[in-house]
Amino acid sequence: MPADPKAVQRMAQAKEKRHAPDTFLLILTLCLVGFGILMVYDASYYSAMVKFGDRMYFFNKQIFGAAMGIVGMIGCSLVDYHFLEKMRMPAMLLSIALLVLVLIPGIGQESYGARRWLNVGISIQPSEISKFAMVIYLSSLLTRRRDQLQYFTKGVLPALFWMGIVAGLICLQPNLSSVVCIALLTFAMLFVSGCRVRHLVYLALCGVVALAVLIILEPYRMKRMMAFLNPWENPTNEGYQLIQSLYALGNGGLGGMGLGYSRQKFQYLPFSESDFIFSIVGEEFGFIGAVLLLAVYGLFIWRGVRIAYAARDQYGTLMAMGITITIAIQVIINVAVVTGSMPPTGLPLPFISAGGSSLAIFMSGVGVLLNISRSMRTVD
Amino acid sequence: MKHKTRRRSIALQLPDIRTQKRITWLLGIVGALFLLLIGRLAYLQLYKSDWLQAKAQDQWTRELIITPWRGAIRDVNGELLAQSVACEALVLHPREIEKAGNADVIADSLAPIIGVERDVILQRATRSAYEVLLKRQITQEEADKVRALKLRGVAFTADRKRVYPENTMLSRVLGYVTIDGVGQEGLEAYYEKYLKGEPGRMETETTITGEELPYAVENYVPPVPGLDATLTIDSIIQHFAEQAVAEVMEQYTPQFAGCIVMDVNTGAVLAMAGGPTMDLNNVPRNDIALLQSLSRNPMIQDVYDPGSTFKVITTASALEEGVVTADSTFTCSGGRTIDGVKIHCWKRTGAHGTQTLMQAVRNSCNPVFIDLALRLGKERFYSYLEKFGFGQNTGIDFYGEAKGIVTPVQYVQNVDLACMGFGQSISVTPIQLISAFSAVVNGGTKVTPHFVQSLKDSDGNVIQDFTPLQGERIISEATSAIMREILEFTVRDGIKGAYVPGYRVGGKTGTSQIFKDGALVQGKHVSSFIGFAPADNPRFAVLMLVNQPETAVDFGSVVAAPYAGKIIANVLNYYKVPKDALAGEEDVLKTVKVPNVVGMSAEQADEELAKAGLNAILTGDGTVVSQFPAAEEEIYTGMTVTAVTDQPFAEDEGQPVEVPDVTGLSIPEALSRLSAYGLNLKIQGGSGVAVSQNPAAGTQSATGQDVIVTFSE
Repeated sequence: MPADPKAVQRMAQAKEKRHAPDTFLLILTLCLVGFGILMVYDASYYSAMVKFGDRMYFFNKQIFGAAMGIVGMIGCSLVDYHFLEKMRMPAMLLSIALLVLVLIPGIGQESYGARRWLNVGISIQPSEISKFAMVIYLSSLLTRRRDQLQYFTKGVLPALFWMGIVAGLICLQPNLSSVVCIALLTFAMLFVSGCRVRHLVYLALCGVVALAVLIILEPYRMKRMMAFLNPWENPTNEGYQLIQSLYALGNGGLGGMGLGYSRQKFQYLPFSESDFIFSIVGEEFGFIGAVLLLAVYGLFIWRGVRIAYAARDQYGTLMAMGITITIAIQVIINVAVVTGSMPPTGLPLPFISAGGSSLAIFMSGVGVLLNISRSMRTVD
Repeated sequence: MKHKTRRRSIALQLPDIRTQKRITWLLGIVGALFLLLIGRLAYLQLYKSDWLQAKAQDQWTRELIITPWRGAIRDVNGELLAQSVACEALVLHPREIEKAGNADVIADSLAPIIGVERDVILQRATRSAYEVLLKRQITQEEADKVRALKLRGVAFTADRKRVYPENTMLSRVLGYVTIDGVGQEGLEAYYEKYLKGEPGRMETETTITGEELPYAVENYVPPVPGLDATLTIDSIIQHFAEQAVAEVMEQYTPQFAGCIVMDVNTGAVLAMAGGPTMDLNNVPRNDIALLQSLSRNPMIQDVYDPGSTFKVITTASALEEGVVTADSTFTCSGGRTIDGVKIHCWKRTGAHGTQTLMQAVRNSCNPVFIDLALRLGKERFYSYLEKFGFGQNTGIDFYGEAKGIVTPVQYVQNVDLACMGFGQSISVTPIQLISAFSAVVNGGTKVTPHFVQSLKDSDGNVIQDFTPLQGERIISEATSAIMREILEFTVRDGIKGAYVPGYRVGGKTGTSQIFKDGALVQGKHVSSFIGFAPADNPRFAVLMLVNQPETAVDFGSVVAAPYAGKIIANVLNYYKVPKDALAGEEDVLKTVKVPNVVGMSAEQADEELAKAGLNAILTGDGTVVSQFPAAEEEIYTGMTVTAVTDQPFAEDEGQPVEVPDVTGLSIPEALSRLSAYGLNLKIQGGSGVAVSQNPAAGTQSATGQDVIVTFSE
């Protein structure tokens, strides 16, 4: 397929020169991380005291994660993102290796009936790493095969092959939310890279069928699914956590209880420092605060998309888009879950939820975005 | 071209225009999802906020009810009769005990101190709970002993109890409270809503485990203490009454002995005693039948045939209606025949013959009152029954008041009317009789009997005043004056037992028949005396009633009158009414200076007062802390000095006694029989009559010991 003449023209207009990274994106990221540390401490000190006898337990982990994240972010922003293209196969294989490791009893830590964590000094979730491995790998694959993307077998299928391996392994943990996240990510990247909408519709239908099969095979998912529709039907079991989350949000009202004045964090709301931290934000800062936080994410996504849009090449575009869309998916799913808009799944809120490895990985992703922004074309 | 593209370095692959378009699309989708989420947040945080917040609030708040202090009960002079005080409850902390592993030690060492069975303690000590209540309202002595043991896992919490400083005094009037302080009987029950106060509330926000939040919003509503009740009862007079009842109980071992002293002008109850009594600080909570029997107040709740004391009412009604005058004469021939039924006078041999009305009352001559009743006719007679309050509640501030039994007027035959004239075929309550009697002598106006004078808040402000209104007139001032004259004559000339030399006392005795299940009980009577003083200016009336005294001569004049007389003398002396001696009785005017007995032991005080020619009432053992009248006061000889001691009576235990036979008796009957002998009744099943007892009748036992009695169903 011939290069688009307009694109050629734009490329000619683009300045080849490297320039300063996107400062605004950096500021937004640091704001989110800083706010996250504050909220993690606020939401967790009581339960940390009760469970671990140390009110700083989650706070310290988060600080450590943020420090790692700063290192990762600076590192990634300095390394030309094309280097990641070369590392696509090692990254993918490493990711798959970790996903296999986590399934081995004794290596992967089991909690709540699933093996999701690897403990190597610090706890890491291989599924978090695999998301970025997927971004790196798919960006490369879809750029290299951009001419065959209209063919299902030559263009779409290779992407689905890798997705299948990764998602399949995550399925075994099991960790349905990460599977959904990876599927949506793959889907979005296929869409952005320019494959046929018809193929995507078929895929979506397949995805729905697959999801249905998973739910039927594992009835506990069915129960959890039902819980979000009417949590008050079973307020002490399946509905408990969602009810507590809604109480937090409702209690916040328009203006919130004020920083530190959450009631629900006193062990009423489980995982108030991680997956359900958004509820505590909503309780302490109200509707205004919650919308403001969403607005910050909106700005972040806009900056990410802007970088993708103006990236110097197709690889940079897909890479930036992949990172941005991963964050967008997680924000949307997380907020949808805590507001009872979809079945509950365990996805952290990027940059905010307690979880050192997740934070470090997201920040490293931002580093990549910053690197891409350094060679951006000027846009209108 | 294709070939060339593939070889191109990835860094040189230009961004795709379609990709850029699709990025825009995707941004749109993300934006739309964000908007949906904001919409959902608005729904939850704005529209549903109040509803969710209210539900959440329920979950966080723990409401603590703060018990208010129950109001005190005081006598007319402000003496405490009932009061709630702080005390301690004994609790166990099983988790601590498990850690210390001392459950057995605790059970072994506490059992003898607190009187709870070892197994019960062990079972509670090993229950899975943070805190288990072991015993409420433990005494200071018990608490001190337990503290001294320093047992881990044994702790104390604040508790309250109701204390009755006078122990058995007024036991059938005051009532008692549950272990939680809810009034159960008597005035404690009747004035429950005033005494109990308003509970306070404390709402605190807590964590899921119940810990208080550091910045919790607290909502504190302080409790309002209950009102204090001031009674019309005067402890001094009550002591006189209690002593008289105790003496009657001891002398005659009746089923029941009771006494009411009433202010004739207001209906205020000045004293009401009934034996056997119970210690209100130690009521038999585990023995319901016994508790019911001891807390019942027969002076208000039970009826009896008044007998001759009722002749006062018949006479007053007849005088008021003019069917007789004080000078009218009657002839008694030993009886009257009404509609073919012969009714005997109580005196069958040597009939009363010709007599004036005044003499007839003194003689208590039945035919005369038959005549009076028949002269009145049933309509007029019944109208006076109603005006005097028979067959209806007196309105006294006490639950469970009996109405009495008055045959409906349409069923009354002349024979019935004739019997009612001398106090048979009609049942009244003692409180009805003394209220009607008060109206007869006070100038003719009705009184409403009552116990409570006023209710005050904790600052002493009167919240409610129960001073009664002037009652309606029943008989004229003149009729009342004649009645006083007749009754004074009756005592002076007829009832030696109630006669108090130097004082003007009026009254009438009665010896009533007892009916059980509609049949007359042979040889069993209620002996009574009703009187008032001073006869020229009546202030109070006294009703003394002895149900089934164990004596051959059980006339009211013999059994009841002397004790009533003693009460009357003491009350008159207490009221400082001067004596006015008749010729030959001058020595009753002798006075004596009251010696100081404060600081003496109870026995010393008793001796000292006897030496001075005075009667003594000791409220208990130990040292005398106060006396009434005070030292150096001049009082008539033979009067009573009340000495208040610092300790209750020690149980008079261990005196040898022969166990009486109680078979065939009902629970209250058996109770009073046994208590007269200083024995305790333990009821074993049933509520009918006693069918067996252990130890058997006639065996030797000691006072303070239990007699286990089995009753039929």
